[in-house]
Order: sequence, then C-alpha cells, then structure tokens
Amino acid sequence: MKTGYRIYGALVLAWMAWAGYYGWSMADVDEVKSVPKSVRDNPGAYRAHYRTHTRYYGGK
Amino acid sequence: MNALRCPKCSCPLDVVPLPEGVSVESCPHCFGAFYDAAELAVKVELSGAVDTEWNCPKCGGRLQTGRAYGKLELERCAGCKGIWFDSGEIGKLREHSGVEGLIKPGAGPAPGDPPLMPAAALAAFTQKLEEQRAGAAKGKTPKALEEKDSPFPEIPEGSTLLNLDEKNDPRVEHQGRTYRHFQTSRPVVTYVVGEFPWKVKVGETAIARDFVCPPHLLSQEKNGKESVWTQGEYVEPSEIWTAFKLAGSPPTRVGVAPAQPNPYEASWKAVALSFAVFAVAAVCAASVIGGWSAGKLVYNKQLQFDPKAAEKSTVTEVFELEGHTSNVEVFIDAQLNNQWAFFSMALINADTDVALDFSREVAFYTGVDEDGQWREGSPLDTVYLPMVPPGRYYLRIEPETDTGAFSYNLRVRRDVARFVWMWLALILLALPMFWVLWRRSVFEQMRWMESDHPWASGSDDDDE
Repeated sequence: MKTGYRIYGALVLAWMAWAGYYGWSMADVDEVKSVPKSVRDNPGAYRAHYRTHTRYYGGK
Repeated sequence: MNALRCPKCSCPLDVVPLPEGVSVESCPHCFGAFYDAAELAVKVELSGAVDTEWNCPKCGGRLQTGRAYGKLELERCAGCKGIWFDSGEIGKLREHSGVEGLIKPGAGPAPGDPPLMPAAALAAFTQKLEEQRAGAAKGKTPKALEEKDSPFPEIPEGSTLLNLDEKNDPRVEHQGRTYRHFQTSRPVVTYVVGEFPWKVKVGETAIARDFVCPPHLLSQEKNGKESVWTQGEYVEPSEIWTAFKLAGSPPTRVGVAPAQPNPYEASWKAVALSFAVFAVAAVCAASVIGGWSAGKLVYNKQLQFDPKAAEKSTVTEVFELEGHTSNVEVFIDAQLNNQWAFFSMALINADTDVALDFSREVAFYTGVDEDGQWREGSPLDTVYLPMVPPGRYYLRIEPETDTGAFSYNLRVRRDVARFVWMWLALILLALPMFWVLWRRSVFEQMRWMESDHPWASGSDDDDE
C-alpha cells in the first residue's frame, strides 16, 4: 500500500507539473489545419466550426 | 438481572443502595431515579397533573406530570404514586421543600439487594463520577480506574452494579500501555468435568472484565475476594497452525477479535505521512511553476459589433506568443444590455495556417421587480486555450446576438498561472488516504460492535 501510494502520488505530482507548465486545459477546442491566408483580408471566408447556436439563453 | 427499565431512555435500571438504608432505582444513562412513595420523607403534591407518554418502571402505570411547590415539574405514577426524578430534580425538590433529609430512613436492604455503601465512600465515588462526566463532556479520556483507586467494595454476586463499567468506560495502565475496557461479563459454572486443584461448584459465578490495547489483552476475573489478572497477546491463526504443524489452513475468520491488530493502522499512518509530504510538494511545485509563468498581455482592444453590418466577422492584428508551449487566456468583457452574445472564434497561426477553433457565449440581464433589482448571467468570460506553441497569431472573431449592437473588450494573455491543477492534485492525493481511513474505521467499528461500548447507537433488544 505504501509503495503503491508513493508511485501513485509521484504520478499525480508529475501530471500536475506537466499540466501547469504546458498549460493543459479541458477547454473545448478544435484544431483546424490549412487555413487559407486570405482569411486575414476576408474574414468571412473562414468556415467556423462553432458558427451559430439556436438555444435561448436567459432573461425574464 | 433487574428487569426495571428507565421510562425515558429504556436502559436497564441499577439498584443503588443509599446510606439511609433504602434502595432506589437509578438509570446509568440519563441519571434519572425512581423513588417509591414510601421512601420520601416529604409528601409531594402535583397540581395540574396530566398524563405523559411514559409508564411507571415499577407497576407499569401511566406517569403523570404536574407542578410541585408551584414551580417544580415532576412525574408521578398514577398507580403506585412513586415519583420519577430526572437528573438534578432531587436537589431542586430539596430547595423548594426546604427539607434537607428527603429520604425516609429504612430498615436496611431488602433480601437480594446489594449491601449498603458507607456515605463517605458514596460521596467520594459520586464526586469521581461527576469529574469523569465533566471530562467526558469536554472530550477528555476518562481517568484510569485501577483496582486500587476504586472505593467500590467487592462486587457481590447478586449485584447489578456491573453496568458501571459500561457507563464509566474505564482504562487500565499497565507496562506503559493504556488498556481500554472492552466488556464485563458474569460467567457461570454450568458443568464440571475432570480434576481441578480447587473445589468447583456448579452455579458458581464470577465477574470477568476484559481490557484491550491491540494486540494486547488484560483480563480480570473476580470471585469473592479473589481477583486474578491475566495478560494475553493476539496471535495470527497461521502462526498457530505453523507452530502446531497442523494440516490444512485455519478456518476463515468471522468478525474481529477484541485484541486483533488493525491491519490498516500501519498503512494509514504511512499513507497519511506520504500525503503530507506530497501535499507540501504539490504546493511548492505549483508555486514555482506559477512564479515562472509570464502572464504576458499580448493583445488588448475595445471592439464593436453591429449585427446589421454586411461583414460580421473580424480579425485582430498579429501578436507574438513567446516562450515555451503554454496556455493562452482569452478574456471577453461585453457591454451587454439585456441580451446574449455568441462568439465564434479561432486562434490562427500566421505562419503555419493552423487554427484553434472555439466558441464562447455571454449573457447579461437585469431589471427591477417587486423584490427589487435582479441580475442574471455575466458579461464576462474567460477561456484558456491549451498547449499553444510559440509563434505569430491572430484572432478571428464572429459575434452573434439577438438584439442590437454592442461593444466588447478583448484581452489575450500568454502563459497564465493556474492553480486549479494543484487543487485537483490535492484531491486525487487525498482520495486513497480517505479510503484507508474509512477501512480502518470500519475495522474498529466491527471490533467494538460486540463490546460494551459499540460505536453505533441504537437499542439492543437482547438484554432480556
């Protein structure tokens, strides 16, 4: 138990250090490759993954 | 065994001899006491008597509550007129009646009752009980009640005063260890076979008291004036099988023996110590990493969005993300007026043409109703993009809303310190420790389940 916990603890600490140093997060992000360079001049030409939503949000 | 039970808490009542030569029934749990009408030197009249939910411990009649001397609420049996005093009410009756000697002197103990205790010894022992009770209320361990300290006389065989061990929970100090009382029993000789160096009679009784300090055990056996102490130590079944060269393996264990060592005791201490070390290491590591984080502001601008514009999306200027692969914080502060806003965004690398696509939504509503001002939602939003390599980037933003135009402040920071991983690591490190602690606690609960001091509360219907 003692040895197993020490190994487990070391792994948890290593994961924490790696996540903190490299800035890992659970944000919902998608990687898109080969974005055309024309997007800088014509932003509307880019097809966003998260384009719109239809859900009603808040208010009374 | 005394079959009378406390009307308030249903514990078996003790028969307590008083110096005046009478015996009263007292509850060892709530310290209430029942006095027969004939035992009181003062006549107690109750005004406004009404039935209660309790029954008389002597005759089973209904206890009635009323006021004596205009102020003191007492319970009296409607049948035998005996009076039940809750803890402290005897003293109050003395005050209100003005009579010091409340007990009517009797001729002595009835046959079968225990012998009288001298008044001075009773007073000293009562004071010791009060000190222990006060100490127990403050969470202190009761003082050791070694045989030589107790003013209690030899326990006669017919006595019901064994319940004092259950109430007092005594400890015994021996050879540097503190043994805690486990159980007191009254073994009876029911059958004799073989030869004995002393004369044994069927029907002989003794008083046996066990004290444990796992793996050690102390047992006392009292028979008349003789008191014998025995010391023992728990031995694993496998050791016995090996020592006697027995075939096969010992039978499966059932329950927990009184002096059986807790197998989780050593591992609990080791895990708790390791957790402390890891927790300190986690805090130090998080502080060092947090201190190294640059948290550099790379973009900060106020932007406008008009839903009626022909082109709703926009791109920012190119900004530099320096250093090692790290996170990027994108913060939005939208000036919303009872509306929602949805941001479809992409962090695009100007050199590699790789984009990180994400979206955020904010909403803020406020108003006034009969309860006052209300607010719902927040115009602020923060997202942390993970593991973004260094390079030149720009943001593409495409807002969306249900009503009119609004402005928003967009701020981008690089390599921002976050301590959420430290808290998550501490939780993950603590989980095994709590598991071992729980197993240790369950083991101890099983140990004490069969003792006179079980951990779980609840009535035991097997006393009869």
